[in-house]
Amino acid sequence: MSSSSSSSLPPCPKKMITLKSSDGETFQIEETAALQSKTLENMIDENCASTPIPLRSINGKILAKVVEFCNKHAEVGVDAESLHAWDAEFVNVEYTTLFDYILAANFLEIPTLLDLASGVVGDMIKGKTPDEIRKMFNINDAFSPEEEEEVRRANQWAFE
Amino acid sequence: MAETSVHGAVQRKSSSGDRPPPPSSPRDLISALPHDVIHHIFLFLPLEDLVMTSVLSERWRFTWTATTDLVFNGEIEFRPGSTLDFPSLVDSVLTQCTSVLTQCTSPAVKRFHVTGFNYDDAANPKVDLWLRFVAQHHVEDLCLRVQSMRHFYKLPVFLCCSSWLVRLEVRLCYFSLNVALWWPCLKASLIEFAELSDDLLRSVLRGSPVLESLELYHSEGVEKIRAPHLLSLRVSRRLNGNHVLRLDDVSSSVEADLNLDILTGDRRMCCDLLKELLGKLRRVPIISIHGWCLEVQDMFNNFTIYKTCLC
Repeated sequence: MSSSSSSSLPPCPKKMITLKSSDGETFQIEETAALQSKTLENMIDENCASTPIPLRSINGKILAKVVEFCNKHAEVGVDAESLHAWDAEFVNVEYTTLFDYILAANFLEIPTLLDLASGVVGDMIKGKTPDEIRKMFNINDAFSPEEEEEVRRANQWAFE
Repeated sequence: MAETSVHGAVQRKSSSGDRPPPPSSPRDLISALPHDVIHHIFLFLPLEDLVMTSVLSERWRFTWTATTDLVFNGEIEFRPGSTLDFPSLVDSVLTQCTSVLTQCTSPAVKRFHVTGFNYDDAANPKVDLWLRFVAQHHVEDLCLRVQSMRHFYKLPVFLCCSSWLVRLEVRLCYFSLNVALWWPCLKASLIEFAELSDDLLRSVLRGSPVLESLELYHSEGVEKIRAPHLLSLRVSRRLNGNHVLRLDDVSSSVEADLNLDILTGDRRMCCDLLKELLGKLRRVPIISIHGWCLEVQDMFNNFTIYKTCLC
């Protein structure tokens, strides 16, 4: 698969590595961009990145976005303000996708993406009531009113 | 440019600006996230929101108690309707964290911050107990910023030898002179409103062999700083005719920030002092000067040899 894609590419002197998603899609990424992932960095250091790297927990849709994120953050000469705006747009997605970003960033050890997506989820929770949070994230196994009252009593100050 | 997919990804990329469709099945995905991921999200929540997650469901009841960051801000006491005083609130949280930590293997508490706490001597035993928690859990990042009109908090002896501390920030605290300090991993330290002396600062620097950043704010008593391994030094304080500040050796520094206010009318002395300070900093690439330093610097017209960043 990767050989057919590389045949359509212009010759590129830059060092590339190939990532393979859980659903079999392959993506090429420059080594310099891939270094934002500590997991990939370790594989590169140990010379394990010469063949396509299977990422069985990340599907093609998410891996495409992760590659896009790494490429953007590896770009030279991007000022902090425009990168910030780009990041904000990148995480302007459904929370289900945010969780996928977080899981992928956690697996690939990409701290910038992990912090970015986790911060957005944190902002979604901040200042909300328990009922609002349950509704937002479909948490259905709530306590009974009596049980909840007991749990609240242990930390009443947090609900005042 | 670097991104190349065999198929599909390019199409997706072109439609990435579209609103994503709502999730097809309303499953509880957040509760299914791994513990370490949830704890990473917790890093972005203030304490009250963190603790509030305990009532979401049984799965969430004790999850927060294994948080890696405990950040207590004294302002929480002054929220409308608040019924718990700040020390009792800290005690309550630490008790719950301790009981769970002793029952199972949890991520270690890495950050412990107490800020904006109105301290008086009556609170001393409680603060000692909080720092006992810090020592027991080998907290790497400790910040204790108290507020008080009259009282200083004396840091307990057991904290003077802490092989795990990486960052230490204290306000209105003082150190015992009789105990040797040993912080072999300490990289950054901020000391504000502390009674220091040359001997004590020497003890701090000798006991912190990998210290990279030192910030001394409004901490009187130090007249000489000898810190050849420091990378960054920030000093903000008042000086008078009898108490001056000399930099003996800051040869490794790449950044220095001076905000000095001098209480003397002797212009000659001011010029000599600043000249000497800047002379010691001549190899430092980034120097920031503020306040009085800046005024005196204006008196010189031949300091162009210094690459100076004015903030």
